[in-house]
Amino acid sequence: MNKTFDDPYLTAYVLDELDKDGRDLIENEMQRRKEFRFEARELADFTDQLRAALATEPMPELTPGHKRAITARLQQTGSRRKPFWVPITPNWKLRAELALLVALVLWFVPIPASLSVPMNRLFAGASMHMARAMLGAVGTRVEWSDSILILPGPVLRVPTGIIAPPGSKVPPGFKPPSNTIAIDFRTWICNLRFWTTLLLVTGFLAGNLYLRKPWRKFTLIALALPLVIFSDAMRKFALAEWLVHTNGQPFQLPVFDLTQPIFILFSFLALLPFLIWFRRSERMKWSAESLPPAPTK
Amino acid sequence: MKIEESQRADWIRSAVSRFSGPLLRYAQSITGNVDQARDVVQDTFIRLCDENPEQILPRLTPWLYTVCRNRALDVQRRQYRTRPLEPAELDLQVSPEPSPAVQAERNDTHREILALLARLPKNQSEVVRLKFQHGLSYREVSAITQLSETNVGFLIHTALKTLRQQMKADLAVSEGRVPASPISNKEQGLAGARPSDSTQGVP
Repeated sequence: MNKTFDDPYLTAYVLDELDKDGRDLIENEMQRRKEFRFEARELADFTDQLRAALATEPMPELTPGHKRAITARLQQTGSRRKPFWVPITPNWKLRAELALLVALVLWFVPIPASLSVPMNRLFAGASMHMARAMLGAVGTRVEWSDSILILPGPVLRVPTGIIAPPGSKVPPGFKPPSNTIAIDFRTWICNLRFWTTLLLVTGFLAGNLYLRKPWRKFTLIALALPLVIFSDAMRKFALAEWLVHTNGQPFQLPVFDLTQPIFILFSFLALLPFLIWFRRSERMKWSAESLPPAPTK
Repeated sequence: MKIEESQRADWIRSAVSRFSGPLLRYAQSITGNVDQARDVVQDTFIRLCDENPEQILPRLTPWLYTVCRNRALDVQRRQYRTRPLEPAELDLQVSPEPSPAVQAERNDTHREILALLARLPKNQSEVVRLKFQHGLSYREVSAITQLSETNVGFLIHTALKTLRQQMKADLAVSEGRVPASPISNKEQGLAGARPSDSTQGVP
C-alpha cells in the first residue's frame, strides 16, 4: 500500500504511537522511498522544535493560599476514608442492576431435564460423599443409596423406617436394613439449582464490584459450586449426627425444609472470607513513591 | 489507621508537587488566565482528597487532567468569554545555551511556533499541548478530551501540518521570496475542521 506524506499514520509513527504492524508498514515505505524517509525526519525535527518551544512557556505555581486550602481539605477528609464495603467500581449501580438481570434470566430460563437431572445427581452425589466422609471422620459409620442415608441401628432405639418429607417417593422395593433408619434427601436436592445460581450471581457481582484482577473474579465465581456442595454436605452431616445423638427422637419434618437455607447461608458466609482475602491481596501500595511520573516539564 | 492517614497525606502532597505545574499550564491554556487556572487546579486537588488513592492510582494522570479540564471548561463557560493566550503573555524562560546568536534564533523560532499555535483552533491546540507539552499518549489524550484515538491522531496530524506549512510560508516571506499573507482560507478551513468531519481512512 502506498502511503502519502499527508498521512496521520506517518505522524503517529514519528510520535511512536503505532503498533508493530503499523511501524512495519511505515518502515517498509521508508526503505522503498527516500523522500518518505526525508519527510519523516523533517517531521521528527519539527516535533522536537515544538516540544522545545512549549517547554519555554512558564510553569506557574500554586499560591500558598491555594496550597493551604488543599491541606485543609486533606485534614478534613483524612479521617473519613471510604469503608471496606464501598465498591471500587465507579459505575457499581449499573453493574449491580445488570447482575440482577442476569440472575432473573438464569432463573427463568428452563433447563432441559436432560441437563438438570444429571446435574442434580452430580451435586447430590458429591455432597453425599462429602457428608459420608465427615460422618466417618467423627466415627459414625453410614451407608447410602441413591441419596438415601442409612444410619447405623445399634445407636438408635427407634423402629426401622424411612424419614422423608411428605410427597417423597421412596424407591419401590427399598427397605432399609433391619434396625436402621434412613433419611431420604432426594426431594431437597432440586433446590440446589436455585442456590447455586444465586451463589454464582453473588460471586459474579461481588467479584465485579470489589476485585480488579480477572483471575480473582473468576475464582470467586468458581467457588460457588464447591461451596454449595460443601454446605449441603454439612446439612446432611448435621442432620445425621442429630438423629444419632438424639437417639432418633421423632422430629418435625418441616425442620428438614429449614435446614437447607440455613446451611446455604453458610456458603454465602464462606464466600466472604475469600472475598476479603482477595481484596486485601489486591490492595495497592499508594505511597508517594507509587505515583506515576510527572508529565513532561 | 494513623499510618495510613499520614501515608495518604504524603501521597496527595507528592501528587500536588508533581502535577500542580503541568496542570496549571494546561488549565491556563483553557481559561487564558493564571488566577483562574490556580482556582481550577486547587479544586482538582480538593477533589483528589475526596477520592480513594487505591482506586485512583492506576489512572491518576488522565483522572487529574480530565477533572482539571472539566473544571476549566466550567469556569470558561460561566464567564461567557474566551480569551486565548496571547503570544505576548508567553514570557520565554531562557536557559543558558551555546551561543547568543544561536540562542536568539532559537528563541525566535520558539516564539513563532507558540504564536502560530495560539492561532490554531482550540481543539487542535489542546491536543497538541497535551501531546507535546505534557507528554501524554494518544490514548490518554483521548480519555481526557473524550475524543476517539483516531480523532486525536487526526487533529495532531492536521495541527502539525498547518504549523509546518505556516512556518515555511513565514520563512519564505522573511527571505523575500513571496509577499506576506495571513493563513489562506483553505488552510484555515482545514485547521478548523472538526475531527468527526474527516476521519475516513485514518488509523
